[in-house]
This record gives sequence, C-alpha cells and structure tokens, in this order.
Amino acid sequence: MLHYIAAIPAFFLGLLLIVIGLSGFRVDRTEAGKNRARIDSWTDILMGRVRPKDDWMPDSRVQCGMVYNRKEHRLEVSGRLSVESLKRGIRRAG
Amino acid sequence: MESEEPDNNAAETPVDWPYSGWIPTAVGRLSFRHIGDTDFPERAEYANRVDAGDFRYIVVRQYRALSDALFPSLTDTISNRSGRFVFVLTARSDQKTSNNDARIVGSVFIVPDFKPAPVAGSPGMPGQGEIASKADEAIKAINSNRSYGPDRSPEGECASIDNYLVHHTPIRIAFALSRDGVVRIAKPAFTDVELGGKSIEQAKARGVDYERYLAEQAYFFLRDVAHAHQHHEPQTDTLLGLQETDPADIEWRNRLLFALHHHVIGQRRQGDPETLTRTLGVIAYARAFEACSGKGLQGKKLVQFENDSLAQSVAASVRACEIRALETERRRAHGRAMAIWASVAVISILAIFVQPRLNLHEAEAFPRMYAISTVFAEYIVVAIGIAIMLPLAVAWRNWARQVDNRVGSMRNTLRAPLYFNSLKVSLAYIALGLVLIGYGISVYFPVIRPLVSGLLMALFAPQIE
Repeated sequence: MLHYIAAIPAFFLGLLLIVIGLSGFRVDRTEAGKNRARIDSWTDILMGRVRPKDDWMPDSRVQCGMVYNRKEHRLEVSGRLSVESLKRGIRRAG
Repeated sequence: MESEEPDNNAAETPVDWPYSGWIPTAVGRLSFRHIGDTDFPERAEYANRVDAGDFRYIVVRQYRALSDALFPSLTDTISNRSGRFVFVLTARSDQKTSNNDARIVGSVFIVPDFKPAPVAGSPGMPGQGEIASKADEAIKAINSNRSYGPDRSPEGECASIDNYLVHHTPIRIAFALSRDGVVRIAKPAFTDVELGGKSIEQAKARGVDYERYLAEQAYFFLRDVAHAHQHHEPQTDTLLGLQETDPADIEWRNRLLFALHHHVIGQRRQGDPETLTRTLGVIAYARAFEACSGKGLQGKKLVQFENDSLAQSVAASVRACEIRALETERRRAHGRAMAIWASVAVISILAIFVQPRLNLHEAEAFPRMYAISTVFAEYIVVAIGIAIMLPLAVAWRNWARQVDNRVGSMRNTLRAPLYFNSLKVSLAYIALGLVLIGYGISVYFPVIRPLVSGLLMALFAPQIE
C-alpha cells in the first residue's frame, strides 16, 4: 500500500527533474560562466556561499544574506543566485 | 569596536554617516505613516504613532531568514549555523511631523540566533525570543494607548525599549531617513565585541568589508519595512545597494543613478512583457531620485540620462512584446480549436458508426473491435485512472516549464545547473528523474499490465475463424 502512495509523488517529482534537466541544456553559456566564477566548489552552492561582486555597482545576479555560526560565534556572509538571474540564465538561452 | 553615536542633526558628512542609500518612492516623498506595515519577508509587528506633541515614534520587529544555503533547514542545522535573525527598529521624528523636513532617526538592532549560548568568554545576551517579546510588549503598549499620560507616552515606551536594546543586543546600526527617501547609515556598533571582531576578521579573509555588508543588511531591512516592492522581485535585494558617502554628497547619487539605469538596460534585454513593464517603474524611480536629489545639490550637476526617450523606447518594446504574445496566443488558440474539432469528429464517428455495432449480434462480424471494447469494459477502473493521470502529467510538465511558478526549494534546486552549463549535471537530473518515473510505473505496472496486454492481444492476435 505504501508503495502505491509513494509512487505517485515519485512519478511527478521524476517528471519535474526531467524538465529541469532538459532546461539545463538551454542554460546561457555566458551566464553560467559568470555564475561559476562566483564559487570555488559545488559546496559553495549547497552552503550558500556564492560571492557577490565587491563593487559600488550592486550585483543583481546574487542575493545576499548572512548566517550566524554558533560554533565560531561569528556572523558569516551568505549569498545565492537571485531569482532574476535564474530567469536570465534560462530564458536567454538559444 | 563600538562606533561613536552620530549626531542626528549634524550635516550629512562621510564621518557621521559613511553610507548613503535611497528608499525608492515614485512620488518623491516617502510616507512615514506606512513604515512597518509589511509582509515581506515575514509579517512585521509594528507601532507607528504620532504623540500629542506632534512627534512620530516607530518600533518595528521582524524575523528575517537570511541564509542563502540551498536547503538551509538541512545544511545549517548540520553545520551548527542559523540564518534566522530578529531585526528591531526604534525611531522617532527629529522634528514635528508638521515640518516637511522632519526626518526619522533611530537605530536598527540585529539579533542572531544564540542557541545554544555563545562560546565561553563572550557576554551573555538574551535569546531572540526574549528580545522579540520585549519589542512586542513595547509595540503593544504604544498601539493600545489612545491617549497618552506622561508615564505611558510613546516617547517613554520608545526610549525604554531603545535603552533595553542598546544594552542587550549585540549589534546596533544608527540611521536617519529623510522625506525624499534618502537614508544615511552609520557604521555598525558591536556591543558584543568578540562577535564583531570575529565576523570582521572572517569576512576580511573573503575580501568583504563586513561593516558595510552589515550596514547593507540594515538598509535592506529599512527598505522592506518602508517600501512596497513593485517593480522588481522582492527577493532581489541588490537592485539598489548602499553607497559610500562622499564629501560633495553627489558621487554616491550618481552611482545610484548608474545602478538604476544599469538595471533598466539589463532588464530591457529580457524581452518579456512583465519584465519590460516593471522596467518602466524603475525608470520612474530614476526620475524621482533625480528630482529629489536636484533640490539639495545647490548648482552641482548630476549625471544626465535621457529618461523620457528611455521610457518611450521601453514602452515601444512592451507594445512589440504584447503584439508578439497576441500572435502566439492566436496560433495556440487555433491549434487548440483544431485539436478539439478533431477529437469531436473522432468521438462522433465512434458514437454514430461504431457504437451500434458493439453488440453480441455483430461480435462475429467485427471481432477485433469487439475484443478491444471488452478489454476496456473489463478494466474500466484502470482505464479511467490512466485517463485522469495523463492530462495531469501534461499539466504538471507545463507548470514545471514555467520558471516563475517554481517555488521555494524547487527554485533552489533549479539554481544548481545554472552554475555549470554542463551536460553531466543535466544528464544527472534526467537520469534521477527517469529512475523516479520508472519506480512509479513499476509499482503500478501490475495493475496496468492486464489492460495493456489485453489491448495488444485484441489488436494484434490472429483472429480465430
């Protein structure tokens, strides 16, 4: 019975992942290169350590936050790609 | 570490107010009455009252989730981090509100999630819940008093909570907000010196000016509580940032205008009607900022942009997009009409010509058709289930293809391939998707199999004479 219940969301989640994977083929190469330059490794994406440009011009590609590190008792810079950057990366593909 | 308290009535100098920014207002005059009335990023509790002496007092408390990890509830918990902060604003007008030049001056207090207690050696600070409760008590007291006695005036409540927060929160950032939306922000003052020192040191190693970064967080908070995001995604906090105040008080304004126009030019290239229409709003902001800046510059000139031409150009692009969208919609509507017409024709033919033949008398004359009908009748529940699932799957696929509709963690998940332009990442997503779909189908296959095999048999098995 559990399998019958789990299979339906699994089916739809799988469909969603395929759609996302296919959209990956349409990612703008230039945008992807710029995004890649903001991280050192894939763990930076996972942990939200994407770097904004350190410039007077606001960097609309990255949204910035912060986290409190309890172990070290310090505040740390946090960042990830903005929603608009996400749109730009997919929609401009062609 | 603790910065000196700036004199709110002093002239705007880079020393007192090293950072300047602007809270967008299309009309050129910010409504102080609405400060605190916001649902973004979470509902804020606030009190915003004018007392009998015509001075405005404001207290706002808001929880803000600031972690940018892909799955913060998972990774932040494992790494013992927290992106949940309490921001509290306490402020008052520096002159009577009847004075058009009155500013709102006060402080933003930032409280991290100290849980468990900070490391040994640092001063004990109350937790977020206690700070939020104290702020909420003050807000309730200010809001509940219709008439103010000397002991329960908003001034007294405001001063009391301000005094408490000064001594019990680790970070305080002073600010002054003018009617035209210009906001001056001081350097952060760290009551918890150790927290300040370690934070600045770590940020420096990553090439970040942490004092400015923290001041920007206060600015984003101020912007969220004093401004409704209408012409950009509310999460896009870096459309307008803080600028460093210059002695002539003009360079930061030019930079801000450059930033607004940089955004407009970037958005123009997106080519969808919604983005372009929002861009017209940003041009309106640029005009408003030019106008309000021009009043106080005493002959000094801002950089000039042809905003009228720019707005006309964007409006023309919006119109062109609308025409394209109408043409696309017309073609789609035509396609839909054709599909419906074809379906109706097929169903009609089946109903008029085939259905009367589906009886026992005609079974021998049309054995294959009768066999198909029998299979459907036998597995009618499964057939109905498939008939429901197929349109649902198509609708879900269409929903998933619209980036704007993806929410929360789905948006975050989508971000990963955007860094890599890599075939491997896309193929990994597709492979995982196929595994999940395969699992779903394998579970239901025993249910579907009789229908499928029955249909195949009915269609292709040799007919016995």
